[in-house]
Amino acid sequence: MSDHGAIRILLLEDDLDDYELFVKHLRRTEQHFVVDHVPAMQDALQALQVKQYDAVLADLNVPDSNGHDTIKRLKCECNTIPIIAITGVDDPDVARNILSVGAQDYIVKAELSCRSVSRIIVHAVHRQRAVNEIADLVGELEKRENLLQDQALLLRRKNEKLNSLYRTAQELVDNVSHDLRTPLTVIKDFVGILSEEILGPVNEKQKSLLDRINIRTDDLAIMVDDLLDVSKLGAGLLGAWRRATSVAEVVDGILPMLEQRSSTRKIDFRIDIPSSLPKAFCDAEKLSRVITNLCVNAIKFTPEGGDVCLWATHDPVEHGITVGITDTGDGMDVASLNRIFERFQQLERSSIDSTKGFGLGLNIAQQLSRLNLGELAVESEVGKGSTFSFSVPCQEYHEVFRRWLHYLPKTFECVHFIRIEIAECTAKEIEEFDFFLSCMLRRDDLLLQPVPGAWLFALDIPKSEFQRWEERLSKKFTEANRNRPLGPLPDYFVSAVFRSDDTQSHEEIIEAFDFALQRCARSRTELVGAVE
Amino acid sequence: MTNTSDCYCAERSGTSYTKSARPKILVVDDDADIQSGIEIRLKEFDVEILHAYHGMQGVNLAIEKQPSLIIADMAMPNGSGEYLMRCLENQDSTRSLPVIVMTGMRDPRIRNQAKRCGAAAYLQKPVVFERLLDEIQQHVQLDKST
Repeated sequence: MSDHGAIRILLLEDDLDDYELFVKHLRRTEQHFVVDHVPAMQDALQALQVKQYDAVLADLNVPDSNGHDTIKRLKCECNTIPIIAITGVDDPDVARNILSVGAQDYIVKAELSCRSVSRIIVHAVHRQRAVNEIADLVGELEKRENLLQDQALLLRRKNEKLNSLYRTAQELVDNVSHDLRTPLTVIKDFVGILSEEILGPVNEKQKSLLDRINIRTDDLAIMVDDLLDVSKLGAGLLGAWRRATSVAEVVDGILPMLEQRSSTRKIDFRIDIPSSLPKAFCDAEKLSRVITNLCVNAIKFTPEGGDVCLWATHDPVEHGITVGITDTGDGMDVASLNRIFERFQQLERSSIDSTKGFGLGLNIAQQLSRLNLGELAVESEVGKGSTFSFSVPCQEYHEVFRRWLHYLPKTFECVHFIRIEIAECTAKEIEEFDFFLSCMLRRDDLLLQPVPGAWLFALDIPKSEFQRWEERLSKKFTEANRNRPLGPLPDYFVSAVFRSDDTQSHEEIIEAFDFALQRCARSRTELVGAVE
Repeated sequence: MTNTSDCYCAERSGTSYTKSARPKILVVDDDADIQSGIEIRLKEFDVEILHAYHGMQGVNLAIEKQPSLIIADMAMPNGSGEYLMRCLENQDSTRSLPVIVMTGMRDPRIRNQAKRCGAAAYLQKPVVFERLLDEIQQHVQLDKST
């Protein structure tokens, strides 16, 4: 419609009398019509090209076009303008035919009246406008859907790229760590050969310098580990591989280094770990790193002749183990303690600002303790000494899960429990499959094996990500089965058993976990029973 | 019947006799300095040290020389420690060969991986020699060299 509310009509009509009749009818109505008249199809098509119309009225039979062909040709030229056919006969078949090729409506010449013509045209214009709007909307929707699909594709590609970068970064950090440590290992080894006089006598002065070289090499090795851990923590690359771990065995691995260090400083280094201590459920490497850092710190800050004690106790109520390092150093006043704790609280912002004193070592100890689901604590008294301690859970899954949930970011997305089972299982197959699953672990994931051959993954991922996670699992499975000298891994069954929603409290999620844990054992019995 | 089993026993005891005569230890590590460190320390014992610098070479030497024990690194070019152990497991002549794994990799999964591949022991580098010696002596009788 034009700005003034007039409906602009193109009237294709070869009969002048009919034309005049139309115009007469249209003039008599309240609606204002502006009519352009053309006698032939050729003229109509030309007019449509140069001018905007709100409707086309077309006699079906004009000199250069006949029957419903007239409608078709007009429709081709102007798909968004309503076409109203003018026909001499009132035959339902003809009418159907006309409508089927795209006419909005039709007017039978014999039935012409001013009101009906006007009404038919106005309605046709309105209908067409609605049709046009819907078509526009559909077009817009299609465009957006295409855009979304494009973006989804782009995101998927970016995701794949990120995944591959993530793997590369992880491998790179691991390799750098290995490459940096290898020469240090050789230096330590050769220094040992010299100072143990295997190749000939060494005098006291030389021996003491060799001991210093040894200790400084350890310093360097610890520093390499610290720096790599900081970079891995910062990049979110450090995941935890938690298993039943003997604290005594872990301590055993670092004991020679700690003993040498304390003996050159004339410090009495004692170990107090009861043989009845249950196993901890943690990542052994991280546990070893925390103990190393705390002990090296304690030995450093204890004056000659002092004591350092590395102890561990079982806390049956908390289902945990507390590991502590108590020294008889100078201790710290409240201000220093607060400073240390401020540091702990600012962990996320921690940077490599200091490798001296209580710097990187304690920060890393705290972060690694958290990966092992425990908090680092310090007690100190000036003149008496300090105790740094941290706890790790025992292999009691309810407690392990409670701690895991506690350490999730406050704004966690959505906790999923996923049960994975394998049917046939020799102990070796279970071990192999457990190793395969551990390769799926990311920083904040928890993997438990409540019964042999059945695993429970606890993940914090957005709801929409779960399908992708499953795809990743099956992709990794295929990858792992490629070139396996031992033959393929056993087939697995995966089921999502729980998904938290926003309204659920920690207690409710823990309850759901306990239920999932029970179900895991029961389902295992059923599965193995069925196969047998 | 009796004959066969006697024969088998004789063969077995014969083998272990030659082993105790002068044990051979194959060291598989891509770092020559690590190799020479072990060799220097084992000099005080009457033992023959064989060197391989990658997994593939380790497999070949193990089959050819039938050592009493293998000390192997995990991360090596051209056949890792895992590859080495898997290959040895696939050969009748090398299946029962004890392998002590020594690695500088910190990932605790590597320890598990070594165990799954059938490693007799796992030591984290830097290794305290006395520990390595303990592990060696679990499998090989070492006599002081004269």
